Amino acid sequence: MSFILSKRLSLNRKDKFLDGFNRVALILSRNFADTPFPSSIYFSPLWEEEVKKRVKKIYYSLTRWGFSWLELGPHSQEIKSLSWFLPQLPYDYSGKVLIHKGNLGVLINYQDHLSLFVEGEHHNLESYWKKLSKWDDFWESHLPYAYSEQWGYLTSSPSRLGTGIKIYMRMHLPALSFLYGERKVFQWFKDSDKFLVEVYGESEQILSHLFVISNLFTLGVKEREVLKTMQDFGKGIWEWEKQARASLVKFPSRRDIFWQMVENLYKELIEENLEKDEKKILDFISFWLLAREEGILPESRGFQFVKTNNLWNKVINRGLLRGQGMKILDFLGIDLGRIFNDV
Amino acid sequence: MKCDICGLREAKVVVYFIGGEGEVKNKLFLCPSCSQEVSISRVISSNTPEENSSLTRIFPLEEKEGEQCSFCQWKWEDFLKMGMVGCPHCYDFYSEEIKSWLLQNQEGVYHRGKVPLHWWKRRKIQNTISRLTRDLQNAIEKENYEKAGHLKKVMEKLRSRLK
Repeated sequence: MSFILSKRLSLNRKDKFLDGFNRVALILSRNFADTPFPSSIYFSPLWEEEVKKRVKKIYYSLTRWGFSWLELGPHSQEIKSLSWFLPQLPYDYSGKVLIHKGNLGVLINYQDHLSLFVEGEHHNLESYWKKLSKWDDFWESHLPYAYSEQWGYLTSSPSRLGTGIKIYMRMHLPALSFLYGERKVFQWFKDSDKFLVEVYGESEQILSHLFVISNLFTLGVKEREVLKTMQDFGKGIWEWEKQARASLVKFPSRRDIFWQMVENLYKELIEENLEKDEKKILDFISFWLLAREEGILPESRGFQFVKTNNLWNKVINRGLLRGQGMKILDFLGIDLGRIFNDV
Repeated sequence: MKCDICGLREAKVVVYFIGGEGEVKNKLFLCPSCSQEVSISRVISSNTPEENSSLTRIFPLEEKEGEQCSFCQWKWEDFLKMGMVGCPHCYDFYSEEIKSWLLQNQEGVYHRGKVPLHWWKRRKIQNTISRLTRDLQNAIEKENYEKAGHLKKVMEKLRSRLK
């Protein structure tokens, strides 16, 4: 019955994960000279407005290029799409302004006066950096940045001091998580002294085997060194994930163990009424996606149409995957609306 | 109502000081001119009565100056609590503390990489001036006063661009 399961979950993407990076974002933190940072208790409301006013003057010259000005509010859709690399944004959107066009933008008054960013799906970090650097030059030509010869660009947190560059890579690593266990994979990243690893979303647990990796150092390293380190690291992990996937395809014994585990997860969800367990639902979908991507979905397994139907009905109708769960499905390319229609 | 800072112009900007539980602790009435030019945090920090007697009355200081950044009032404990500083001046004020923090948490304590364009231009001019100073010294030693006079003029021109 796995065929039915696969038919019911519609996928929006095609070969989206082939380069392994899934999604990357580059951020540059910049501040104005002689102005308190947004972290200061005196920043809001006087300085907050002052920064916005200064930025707005420059924004007018951007309107002809199609950039838009958006004051963020509780219902802004943009918060959802930016939150994976700006994790505090869903809780702290008040007084923030987003100027953006496509994947290029700047967030005003987030943790620094300007958080210039570019986001994308391919792994060529160099092309993103060129775009972002140009964007930075534009702002710098209009506004005097807080800069010190010794410490570079001054930021509200010394963890971003120097170049002010942060590179985020969101990776989906189900095969590694299956072979070694997700906690172990997470710990490997954590043990590295050059990178930071976080789980996806606001949760403290790993969901859907998604990992967000970013650079730790910003001072004492050049931007291009950071780019290269991140690119090599990302590629290395993806190669590793590919090898793990290949071993699943190649060795029937591993495939059997894999399916045994997926089936057990499925049974737990169906029979033990664990449909409220968001982690289990998302992990199950993640493994199912892995099997689909690698073409190892067995023709006949224990997935029962009626029970699966009921499970998805519960998930959809009770809104069990609202919030970050929905974001993860969105990222994985799964359209819940389609599932609903199929039902 | 008159501006709390200059006491001359009509106040048009109100700054609310919010307490920890969201209640309004105090208000500061400012004219548009003062609201643009005066650092509020600096005003609050000024505890010399002759400077701003009304303000020190409104905002009594709990700590002496020197224990917090003179520009934004940020305390080192705040950094330890939040991992953030309050303004660009905090980096001068807490330079030693930040340096020792950076030694443990960053790759180095000196910036490498991109610099702002205006800074780069400034650096270039400074380098040219120091090169010309050496040339000027040589010209004087060789008693080539015509060249020395020309170099001096060029240096003055460059110095004026630094201002």
